[in-house]
Amino acid sequence: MILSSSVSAEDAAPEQTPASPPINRNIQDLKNKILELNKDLFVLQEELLFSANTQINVYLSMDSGKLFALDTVQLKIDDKVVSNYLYTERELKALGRGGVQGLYTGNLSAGEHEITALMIGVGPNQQNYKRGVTKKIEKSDEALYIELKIIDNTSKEQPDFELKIWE
Amino acid sequence: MANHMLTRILILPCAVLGFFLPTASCAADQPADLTKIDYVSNLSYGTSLYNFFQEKYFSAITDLLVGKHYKRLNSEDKNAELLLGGMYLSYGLPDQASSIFTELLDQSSNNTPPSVRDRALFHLGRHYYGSGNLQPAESSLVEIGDTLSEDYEDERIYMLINILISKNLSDDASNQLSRIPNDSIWHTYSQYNIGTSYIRSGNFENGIELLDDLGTEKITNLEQGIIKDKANIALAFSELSKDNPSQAYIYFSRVRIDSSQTSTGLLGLGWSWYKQAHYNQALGAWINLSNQPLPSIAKQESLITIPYAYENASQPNVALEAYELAINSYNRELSEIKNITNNINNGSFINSIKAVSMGTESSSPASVIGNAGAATNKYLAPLFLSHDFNKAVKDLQELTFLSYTLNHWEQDTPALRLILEEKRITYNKEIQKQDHKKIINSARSLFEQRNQFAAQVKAIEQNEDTSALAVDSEIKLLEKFNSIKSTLEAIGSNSDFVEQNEKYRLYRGIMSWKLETEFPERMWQTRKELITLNRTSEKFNQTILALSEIFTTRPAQYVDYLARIKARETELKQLRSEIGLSIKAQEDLITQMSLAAANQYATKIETYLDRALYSKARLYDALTIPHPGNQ
Repeated sequence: MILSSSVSAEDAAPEQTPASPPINRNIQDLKNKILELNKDLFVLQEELLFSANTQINVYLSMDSGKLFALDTVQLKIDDKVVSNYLYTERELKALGRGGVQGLYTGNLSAGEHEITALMIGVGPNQQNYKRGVTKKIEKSDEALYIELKIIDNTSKEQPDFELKIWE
Repeated sequence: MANHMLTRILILPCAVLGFFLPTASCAADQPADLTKIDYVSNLSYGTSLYNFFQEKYFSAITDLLVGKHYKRLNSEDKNAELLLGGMYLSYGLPDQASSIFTELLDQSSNNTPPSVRDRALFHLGRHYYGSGNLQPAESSLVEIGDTLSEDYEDERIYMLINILISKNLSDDASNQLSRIPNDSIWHTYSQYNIGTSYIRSGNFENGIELLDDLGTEKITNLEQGIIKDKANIALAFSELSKDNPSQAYIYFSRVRIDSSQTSTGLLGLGWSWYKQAHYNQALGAWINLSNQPLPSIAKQESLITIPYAYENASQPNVALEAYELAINSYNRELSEIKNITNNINNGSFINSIKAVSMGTESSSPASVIGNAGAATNKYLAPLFLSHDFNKAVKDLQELTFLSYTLNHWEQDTPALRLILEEKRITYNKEIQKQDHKKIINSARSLFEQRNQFAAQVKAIEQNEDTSALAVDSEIKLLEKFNSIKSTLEAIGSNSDFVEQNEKYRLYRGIMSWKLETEFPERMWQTRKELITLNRTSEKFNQTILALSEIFTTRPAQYVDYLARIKARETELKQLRSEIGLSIKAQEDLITQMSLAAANQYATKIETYLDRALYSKARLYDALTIPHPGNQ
């Protein structure tokens, strides 16, 4: 009989996965070591480049993004462009699910400053949409955290933009 | 074999397969609670999720670790720990994940909320289950309370059912089936596994009932369709094994003509006809199979079953031609497989898959495997679809990305050294100016004066020294009073100066009365000024202390920074060498897997070729050598 390669119900027997072979253990060890090293280097870099007393961080978040499809964000501090960011579909999906993007980290002297964010994208009715939001900020000798929020205002059928200072 | 693959799909938890098979069940692999977050109150948590949602697990874990280092995450929030554990699992670090879940479940820390505890138990149970440790898996899974999401709860029951099946307790497993809603894919998987377990144990009645139910189900998605076909094929082959080809035919007929199971279905369909001596119908099924576009072992088998059927249908000459066609086809395939084997051996194959999207954090194995070339894709398709091969490629992708990450840091650490040196030079220049020391000294002097003032105020209050708070005009008057008093005392008790003495007493009394009545208000005003002065001098003092600290600690900090940079550079160098070796080992593994699959395929074809050559010779002899009875 030639019938040999056919499938049978026997093939559905539950299998137990064997324990990780040595090569997998080795990969796991490496991954873990490099994760730790990566963390240490990020910490070192932050301490050297952005002292807490001058540090400023700007984040971007948005809710469902139904009323505004974001393309780019331009960030200015004291009228100087510090960041231009073009978003991929994958990044927009991550933002729509509740992720928060670290848009900018830099240094700023103590005192009063002005921050401006310019958002470009597609708004309600598939119209090109460009909106800016500006806020005066007071930089103390502690790190400053600012969140740029894009919120769907369903009652106005318009997106809202807000710069929130985190205490 | 395709069916072995399905077995793994059914048995392995989706945590392991999640990377490779974008099936509905695997979509549930991501912690369900993560997909439902619509507002993130913590920025560090949020940035980690941003990367996690893009399947950038390395970056997502780094974000959380950095957040933990700076204490930016709420230490009371156990969800952050649970998230970190889940990320470790997604990134293929089960030991790290397991230790986090175990810590969350530590009985001594009773501040873990039930929902976090249940999810930790679930992830831990799934980890044990995936690594084949069924006993601890069962212990974790049965301990879970009632806070799991519906998806997780269905998967929990599914795993428990498979654990019962592994203990040959099919009836107990069957009793659990009703706990999963009928419309859940986990119900479909569980039903298939219980059905096949019954058939394996010889309980055909129960097995057929469950599989037949699946085999006639109306399908709503691709995944369900595959299981439906598998159920029908399992039923059909069990009927063939019982020598019941007419019933087997009914089951084979249910297999869809455009699915991944079509080839197996057509092969079996041909056999079910053949066993009923309906050779022409068997030929119809097998010829249909031989014309299928994709190569498969079933298709290759059909090439030799076709002439076999012609022989039995008393068409020996046609059979002879069909054997010849099969031999040519097998030789052609063997030649193509030889080319593929050469490409694997000379490194072209591994280079072709390395050329695409390697070094990108979130690239999928499918995106690189597709670049292997049409011929290779054709013959190695079963390997390319297998979990083990996808995992091997995924590991290579991750190692390559880690290698790029190390490269990036190797290029950046000299910059960190430069920044540190720049800071040190600036510091030295500043310290040489000496201005800061003068400021500190004068500030200390001012601070001492403030302390003296505070002591004075305290003494005035304690002694109720009203004249101490007199204003300038009053001080002048007091001085005049003192002068008059001295003059009057020098004159002595002279009756000519009675009126002057009386006037002095009166005016001095008015002055004292004024100073005493206004003393509380003046004292309050003085204390207020002292508080303001205290605030100013405290702020000033803090600045001075900070400056002093910089002068004393900064040089030590620079030494510490330099030591840390040097230590990281040493680690980078060490890991650089380790990762190079690991990448090479992983490439060798992929090469070996590919060679083994190509050789296995070739061996099968060679077996068919031998059979075809033998059958052709046998038939040729039968046709050409005169039969004794015919002479």
